[in-house]
Amino acid sequence: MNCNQIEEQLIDYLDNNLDQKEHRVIATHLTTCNSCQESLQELQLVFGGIDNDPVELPDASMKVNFEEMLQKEKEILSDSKIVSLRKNSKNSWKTVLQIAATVALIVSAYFYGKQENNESFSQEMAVLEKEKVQLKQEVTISLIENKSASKRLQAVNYAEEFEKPGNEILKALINKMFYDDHINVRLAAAEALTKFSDSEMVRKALIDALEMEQDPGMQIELIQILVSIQEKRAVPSMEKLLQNEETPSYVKDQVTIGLPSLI
Amino acid sequence: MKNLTDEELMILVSNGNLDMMSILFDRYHIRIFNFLLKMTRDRDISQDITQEAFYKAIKYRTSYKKGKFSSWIYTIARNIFSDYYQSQKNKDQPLDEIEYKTEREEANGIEKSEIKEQLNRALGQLNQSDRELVIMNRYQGIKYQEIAEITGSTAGAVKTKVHRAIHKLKDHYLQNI
Amino acid sequence: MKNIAIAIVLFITIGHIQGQEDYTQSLQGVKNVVIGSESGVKLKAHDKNELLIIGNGRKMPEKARGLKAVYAGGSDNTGFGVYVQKEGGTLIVRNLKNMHSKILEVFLPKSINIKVERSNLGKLVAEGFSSEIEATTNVGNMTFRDVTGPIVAKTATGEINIVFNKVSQSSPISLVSATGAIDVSLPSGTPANLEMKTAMGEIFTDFDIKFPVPESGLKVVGGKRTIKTELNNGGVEISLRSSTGNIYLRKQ
Repeated sequence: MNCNQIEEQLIDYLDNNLDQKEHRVIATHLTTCNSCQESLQELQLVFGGIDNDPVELPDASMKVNFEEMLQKEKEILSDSKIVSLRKNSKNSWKTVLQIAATVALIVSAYFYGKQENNESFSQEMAVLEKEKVQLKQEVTISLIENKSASKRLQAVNYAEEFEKPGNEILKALINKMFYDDHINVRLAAAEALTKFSDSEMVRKALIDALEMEQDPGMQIELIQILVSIQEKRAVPSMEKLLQNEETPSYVKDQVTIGLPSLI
Repeated sequence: MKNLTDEELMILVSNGNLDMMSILFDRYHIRIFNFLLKMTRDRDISQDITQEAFYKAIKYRTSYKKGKFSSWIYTIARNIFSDYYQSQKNKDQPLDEIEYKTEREEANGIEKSEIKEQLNRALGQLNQSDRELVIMNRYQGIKYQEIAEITGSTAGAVKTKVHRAIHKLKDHYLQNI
Repeated sequence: MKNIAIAIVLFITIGHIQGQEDYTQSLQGVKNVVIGSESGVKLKAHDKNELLIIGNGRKMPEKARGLKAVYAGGSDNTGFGVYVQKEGGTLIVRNLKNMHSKILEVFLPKSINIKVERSNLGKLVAEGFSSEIEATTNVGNMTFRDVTGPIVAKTATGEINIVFNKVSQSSPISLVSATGAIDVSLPSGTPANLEMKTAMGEIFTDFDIKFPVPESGLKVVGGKRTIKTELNNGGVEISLRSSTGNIYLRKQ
């Protein structure tokens, strides 16, 4: 390589973007060529200057302005939800105005009442709490199909924290228990479902899961869960596991321990 | 919520959860501001454009299409900047003549600020596109691939242009000393 | 002593001359690497943004001169018995050789996300990564050193050994083994919400486990099936479970 070609690669050389061989070629050339060595130092000087360039901070007012703007946009958003009703009704304008007036009335009555109320604080907290739950639900649903197994686990953990999750969340968890790509996510989903075993849909899913399950680790988890929620309908699949020659001995052990408390 | 990636947050925003934009603002406004500051050399204008960029990101949230959020917000900021630049041009006031307002004298590190000063001058001698590439890649550490996404080019072409721009910057800088 | 050193240098140089050229693949724009291999895999972090397979040591049989190795698993586009393909932001690496072949050693940038898919007999070793690692193996042991997580790993009968140099707080860590032991070392100041569970095995640790009812100085904390505790006031979720193996959690 001549000096021109070397010079073209100096930036990649400094950035460590070259493979071993190219790196070696340039390093060797630099030991013998003063002019390339000089170019390298000039570049280093410039890069050093850039790296030391301080980050400037904007005025604090920017954050304040942003929050104000955000607030306004949120108001517009909630207004537009009322307007969108218009499309569905025939006497559009009148209805919209009526609805808007009704909403305004309810809202103002609510706030008025709240100010009068000694327990206003706890009510406010309840509203906040409700918003938080909705938010969490959204995040859970949007995370649960993430490409990263760790993120999906996080979604399952979020789901487990709900006191009374909606059907959407329960279905997502059941789906994860059956079909997730990574067994750890399936285990975590099964465990999370234990908490919601009041729901018949969940119990049924857990029974079906044991019936179909092939993975020994998952089988053990399901046996423990079904025993702990005292689900007698799972007895046939447990007996089947005992009779099946292919079932690993440690899974059979788990059944033998659990089965007596179900029958 | 703070553990969510930019893209997850932006999906929530586009679904109508505007509060999540606040986290994205915290993550990005300083970077965008510094990018613009290097481009415009004007604190006030840079703050206005940064503000405007986040405003547009909220307004046009539904047009967000699951790409990298950082590329998207830079693209928006760039568009606003170039609109601004166009309007400046019409007023016959080239960007390079806009008064340089960012300098704040610091008692210590005179030598340091001299290098910085000379680099800024050299940066001003580049054309707008070269200057932008150097700022994005070297000052802000944005990878070639992402610059390509922002500017609508290819990673290879961006790399070649960035390298050329760095050599030009270096030459201007050395001439100024 | 000097002689030995010279001998070693000589040996290495000769090995290098005889061996195949290294294989590299740029990882510009790639965020995830997916690896499939029947035989063992060793992953090491390096500072370059490329994938590197060292050619050293792979020799073609004399009779194969002028011929190309072909594999049932797909086309060998690297000359290493490995198929490498970029798909969007993901790089797919498939080891075409069978489960009894030598360990496949691959160098990757330390911040790239790694997913190792259903490797069978072979063991899995990863060193020096500060990215997310996902892995499942059947028989093979997993050994991760100098890593931060998040890690989501499962093995059927192998052991899991992990030494964290720091624990990423970004999203959960989950380690599951059906019959093998799990052995994890964490820096003592790691904030975490810890959950340890074993059906038949025992749990050993030198971390302070807070019990609802105080128990004094017992080394073995097994018996009850699940232990949930906060380390250093709580943090990222760390879940360790083994069906029949023991769990060892160490301070470092």
